[in-house]
Amino acid sequence: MKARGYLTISVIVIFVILLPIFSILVYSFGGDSDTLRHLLDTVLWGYVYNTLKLILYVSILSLVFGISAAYITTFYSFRFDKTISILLAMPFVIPTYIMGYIYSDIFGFYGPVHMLLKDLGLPTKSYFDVLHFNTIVVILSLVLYPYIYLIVKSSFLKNSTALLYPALSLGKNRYQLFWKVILPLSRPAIAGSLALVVMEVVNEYGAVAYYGVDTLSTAIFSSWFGLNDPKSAAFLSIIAMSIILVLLAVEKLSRGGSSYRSEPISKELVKDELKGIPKVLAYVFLFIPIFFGFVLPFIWIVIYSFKYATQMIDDEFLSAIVNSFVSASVSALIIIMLSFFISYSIRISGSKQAPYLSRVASMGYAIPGVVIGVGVLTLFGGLDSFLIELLSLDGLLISGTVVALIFGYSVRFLAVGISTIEGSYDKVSININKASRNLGFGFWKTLWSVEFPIMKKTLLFGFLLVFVDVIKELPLTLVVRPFNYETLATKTYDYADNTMVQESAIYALIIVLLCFIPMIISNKGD
Amino acid sequence: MLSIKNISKSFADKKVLENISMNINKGEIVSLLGKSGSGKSTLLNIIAGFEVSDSGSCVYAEQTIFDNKHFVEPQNRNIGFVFQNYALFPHLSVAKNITFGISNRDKEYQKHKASELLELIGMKEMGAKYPHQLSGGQQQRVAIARVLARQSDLILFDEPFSSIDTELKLALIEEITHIVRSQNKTAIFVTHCPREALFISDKIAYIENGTLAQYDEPKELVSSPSCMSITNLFGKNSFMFKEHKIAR
Repeated sequence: MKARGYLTISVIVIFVILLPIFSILVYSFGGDSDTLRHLLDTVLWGYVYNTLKLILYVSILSLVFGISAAYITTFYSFRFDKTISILLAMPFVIPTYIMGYIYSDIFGFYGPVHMLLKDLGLPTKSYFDVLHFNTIVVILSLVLYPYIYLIVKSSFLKNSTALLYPALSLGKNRYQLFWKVILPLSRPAIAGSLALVVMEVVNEYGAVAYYGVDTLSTAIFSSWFGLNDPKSAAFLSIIAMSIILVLLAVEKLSRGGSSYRSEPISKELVKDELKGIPKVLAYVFLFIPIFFGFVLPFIWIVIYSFKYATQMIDDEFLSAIVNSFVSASVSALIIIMLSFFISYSIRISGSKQAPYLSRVASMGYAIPGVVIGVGVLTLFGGLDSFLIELLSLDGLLISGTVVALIFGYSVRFLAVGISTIEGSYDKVSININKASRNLGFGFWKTLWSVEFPIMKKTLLFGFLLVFVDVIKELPLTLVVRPFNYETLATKTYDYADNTMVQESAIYALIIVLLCFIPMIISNKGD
Repeated sequence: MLSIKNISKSFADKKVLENISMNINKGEIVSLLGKSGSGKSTLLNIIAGFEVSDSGSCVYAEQTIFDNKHFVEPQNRNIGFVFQNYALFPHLSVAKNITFGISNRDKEYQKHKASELLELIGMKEMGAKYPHQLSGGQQQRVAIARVLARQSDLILFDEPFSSIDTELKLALIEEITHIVRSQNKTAIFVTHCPREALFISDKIAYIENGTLAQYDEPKELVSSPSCMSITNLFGKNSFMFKEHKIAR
């Protein structure tokens, strides 16, 4: 089979993966419902407003944390700067919903801070309306700013080393270099990382539901499970998808024809040393996201994990671990294999249009987990009905099974696999592949004997990234999981939802410890 | 040995090659000479099977490797290809790189062939090393040994000397042409450097804007150029041709 033949197989695979999204589109426009009309007349625009407001506020705060932290750690040296650089990325390991539960406990009415102030005889009531929109803004920003920090920092480093010496030779100082050259050149990195933050905000379910903030994500859930109206859920899903697609399109259009490429040079950036008051201010500023985004919640998780360990480690706990491991391992393996095949067939096709295929395949990541969940259930529900009628069977055949859940994860996280593999492929010459074929090896033999050994570390890293993403994923799991199928994420949610936040700590601890693995590997640069 | 007829190729609306025809005899060294973007590397890729021509045909060793009905996949053509950046497999040792194309043969044969070719390229003690431990010239020689192991009669070289330091270039050109001639191989070199073309070739094909402007022996291109660009190109290098003739 020619390279084009394998590319055609990839197109078919991507089409199948995206079927849930198509099914929502078809389903949502397929009719009308009373609930939908009621939603439109009453609360729908409030959900949209809340979602947009949340996106705006979290974006601003994440940009402030992310860009400032990237600026300080890239251009200045100070004591412990390397350790601080690593710690700034650590809030990544704590999922938003867990962070939400933790802060509701710490600052809640019966939490340690409130009780301490009460013991000291200080007024407390007015301070502790913690279940508030603004708290969610801060919590999401604390968890999501590392996207901006890591991506923008990498762009600052690349552009600075490329342009520092030309700019200095043209009489510009570092301050002018940053504002006039580095920051504008880093716009794609800022926009790209902000897009990830926006997607996570729209995807967020656990924390916003717990804090009683009505967003599109919570509305989709209520429509499906509360009002039992899949059509309304599908329609709301379309609105959620549209918000993300419109924001991405606006950013893309606003770039126009500008080019943001610069060639990196191998000189190391010489940093200025921070001294005096600026140094103190830098420490204070960087302390805030590190302490509140990682140290404090992590300490909370460890303390309560030990406190409730004997009570919580039981068959349910072990079963949740096994379920999480099995579903995450199988999903990650399937996703990485598909990503490898798709990326490889695109790589060798030689077609200039083929790279667009990977963007289409990556659409799932831009779509909230709950929306994909609705799409999977709609698709498999229809398929089940068809099969039941055809074969005269009873019960659910595919929907409500682990197969549907794994398929949902594949739709959502295929982008993670593809982007990891393509990022590595950029550094491997296509001539390596041509050389193998020239020496008598065909598609599969080259894939196995040449591409796989060269890419195996990337594939392993990609596997871990997907594995962790699946372990953390809450909304999709809640929607698609089989009855009584519990994972670490759903158990954490269940306990928190039943006002047993502290008891959920040990489930959260396992999730957080697993999330450390790819962080440690990427920090080692291996 | 190799006969190509009326090969044309376009990318989008841009015509890269137009009706290229030429014959290459066994044991000949031919250079595809032309400016950057003239289409010479595309022609090489079409012969190797990495690109598909829009029209035309190619017969190699009395077998049609492509025309409007047939297309032999690159892995089945047994035409050697030496890449500009060598394209050695980074995860394999030098010896494994050399025997990669004959890994279906028995171990003893592979071992014997690796040792024979390592000796031929003057790297007898370096079989256990990895590509990143080699200089550019050494990597180039391993790339050639890898092709020779397959016993391909035709070897294609895509700008093989462009990444080599000027000081080393001349010695490497001599060494590689010596290896090719001593093994009685047919070779096609892509180059944009007229000096290189004059130095190594039995025939030169000058490609301009996707068309074959002249295909002849070096002395003919120098003495009877078919177009102004060839005159301009070799006017400056005619002394090189005399030196080359004396050297040979």
